[in-house]
Amino acid sequence: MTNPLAFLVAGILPYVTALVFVVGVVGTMMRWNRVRVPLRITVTPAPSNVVADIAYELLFFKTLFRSTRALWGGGWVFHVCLALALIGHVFGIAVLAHQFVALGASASQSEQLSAFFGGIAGLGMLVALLYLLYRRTSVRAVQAISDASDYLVLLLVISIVLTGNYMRFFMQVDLAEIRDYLGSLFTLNPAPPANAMFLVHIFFVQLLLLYFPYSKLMHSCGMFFTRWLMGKRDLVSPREGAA
Amino acid sequence: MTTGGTPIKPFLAKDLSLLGLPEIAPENRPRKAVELLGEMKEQIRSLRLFMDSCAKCGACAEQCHSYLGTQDPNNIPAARVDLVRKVYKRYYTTMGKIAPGIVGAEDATQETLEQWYKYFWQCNECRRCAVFCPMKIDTAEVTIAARQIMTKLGIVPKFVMGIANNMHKTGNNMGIPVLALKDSVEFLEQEMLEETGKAIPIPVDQEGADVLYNPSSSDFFANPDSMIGAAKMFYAAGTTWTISSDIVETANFGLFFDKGVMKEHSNRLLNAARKLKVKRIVGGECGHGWRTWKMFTPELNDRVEFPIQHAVEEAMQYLQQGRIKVDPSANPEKVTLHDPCNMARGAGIIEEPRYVLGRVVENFVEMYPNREKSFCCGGGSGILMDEIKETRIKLGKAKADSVRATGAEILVAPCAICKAQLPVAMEGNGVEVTVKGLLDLVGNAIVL
Repeated sequence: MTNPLAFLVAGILPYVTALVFVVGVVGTMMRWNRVRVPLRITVTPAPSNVVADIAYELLFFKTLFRSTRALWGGGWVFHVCLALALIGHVFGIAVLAHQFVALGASASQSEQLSAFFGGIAGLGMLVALLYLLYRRTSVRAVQAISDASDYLVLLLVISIVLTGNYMRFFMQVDLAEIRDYLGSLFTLNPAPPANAMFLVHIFFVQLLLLYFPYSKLMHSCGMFFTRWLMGKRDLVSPREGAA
Repeated sequence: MTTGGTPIKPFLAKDLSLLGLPEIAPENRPRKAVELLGEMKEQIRSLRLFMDSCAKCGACAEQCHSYLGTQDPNNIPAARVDLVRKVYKRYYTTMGKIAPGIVGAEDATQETLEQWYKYFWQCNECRRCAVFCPMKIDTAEVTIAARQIMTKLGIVPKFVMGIANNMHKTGNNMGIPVLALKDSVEFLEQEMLEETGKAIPIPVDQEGADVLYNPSSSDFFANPDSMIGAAKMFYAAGTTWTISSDIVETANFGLFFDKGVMKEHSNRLLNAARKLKVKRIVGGECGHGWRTWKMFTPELNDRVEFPIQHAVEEAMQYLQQGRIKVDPSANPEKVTLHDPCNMARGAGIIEEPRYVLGRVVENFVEMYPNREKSFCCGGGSGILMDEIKETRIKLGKAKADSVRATGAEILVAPCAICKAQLPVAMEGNGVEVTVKGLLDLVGNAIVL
């Protein structure tokens, strides 16, 4: 028998989360897109290729690198490790950590590599997040612009990383069980696993995703819009009423 | 923060009749501000995106001359935008409605508007934060929006309103009547005759000239060398040109507080150009006026049938085409260049002044940071009020530090607002340097 609380968190909430997240994020972006660009506001010199500019920014965080080197370190390491962790979650769970077999590794070597990269990503995120938290609490200017929500988001992400790292380093998580659970979610016949730490982990993840569309986390989507708007040469909406 | 009894906010204008706006009772202003913000967030994409996309990383803080100079946390660009964002969140976002305390949402009150008035008139709309923000959040866009809202509420500095009134009455910011303008023109022509032995004209209202030159009105009084430089340049290049007595003002203060005023100014210039049947318009040494022309006029005004270029571009072309000859030994001093924000970041004039200076002066040195990373002079966006001189000196501190490090004797600033602010900022921060326009040096170096 599944624990009712576990069923709530892992059997019902995920559907609510998915709905809120997708509708919230897509809706916000559609609303942004509906608003006109009445005047040209390109910051000059405009990049010669906006798409390349955005890609370069995404990969290297070049703007922060130029402005605040320590923040660049924290921000870049966190986001790169986050990307690594997200990719790792998809492959690790889908093929049970055998993703490196395609590159010529044996099954057990692949599992070791997966654990290695996962561990690096988890520790990298933790160290970066602790630095960012330290920065937010100790640098006067950053303190001055921080609201409770800025700390809450940091603490929530740290909680997710801590529970994830705990499972990585101190537990033997049965990936097949997780994969079956996710499969059960997709087939609308949810069967939550019994792993309590996993349940806590996905509970925090869902809290974050529920909050995501209504928070500053939308900078992840907004960045594409703002850099496009400010970087594209002479971008402007057609006159109102014009065909 | 008040020092030496100096008020920290610009004086308020009493007479706003020019704007023709309905009067809003003070107690209704906060509610009306919320309403106007609600309309603007549906009309201006940048404003909407900037409300939603700040990660509060704080990278902007150390890049803002206003925060660096005043050390007031509300002058951190992210905090400045937050002054509007707080209200936006409270009334227009889900979290701000259900948990205002957690996300930093706040009701709009009289105090909110007082903060807006204080801090949006300590932002020079210089856009340096946008260069250093990973999201390219441009505080200038939010400052423009907040000031526009305040204008509609009847909260406008006396200084900028006075300039708008002068512009309306006389076609220039200084309120110079036509006769005085003609006097000044004759005086400058006489000066040039004595200096060069040549009759170099400053034509007024000459129909059918190639170029309508639109200088800053301060070029007739405070910076006559810039006007002389322009006259010599056109004369040497053989370009027929004229100024228009309907408008001798390239500085468009509408940009700083009201779109309607901005549009009216540009219309006046377009009409002057039509009346005089010129082929094109050349804008004088001004940063934001240029940005208005280059970026805003095509959308804001119905028809712009004239090519327009900046006097600095004009000078560069004449040099490239060999139409003017220059002798750099006329300018032997150590010269550095201040990149006006609205030219470098606002409308892409970066290489042109360097090309020109490289040929008209003997000893040019760059200052750092420069180009699109240049610090603002601290006077941009109409912050030239005498009553906040102490604040202006603080706003000019970052620039003063850049200039001091060059050891230059002459600081070139091809922008009338910079020319008015820089002497105050340099003296106030203990930097000895002479501020000049770029055309001043072109004028010196031209071989006639």
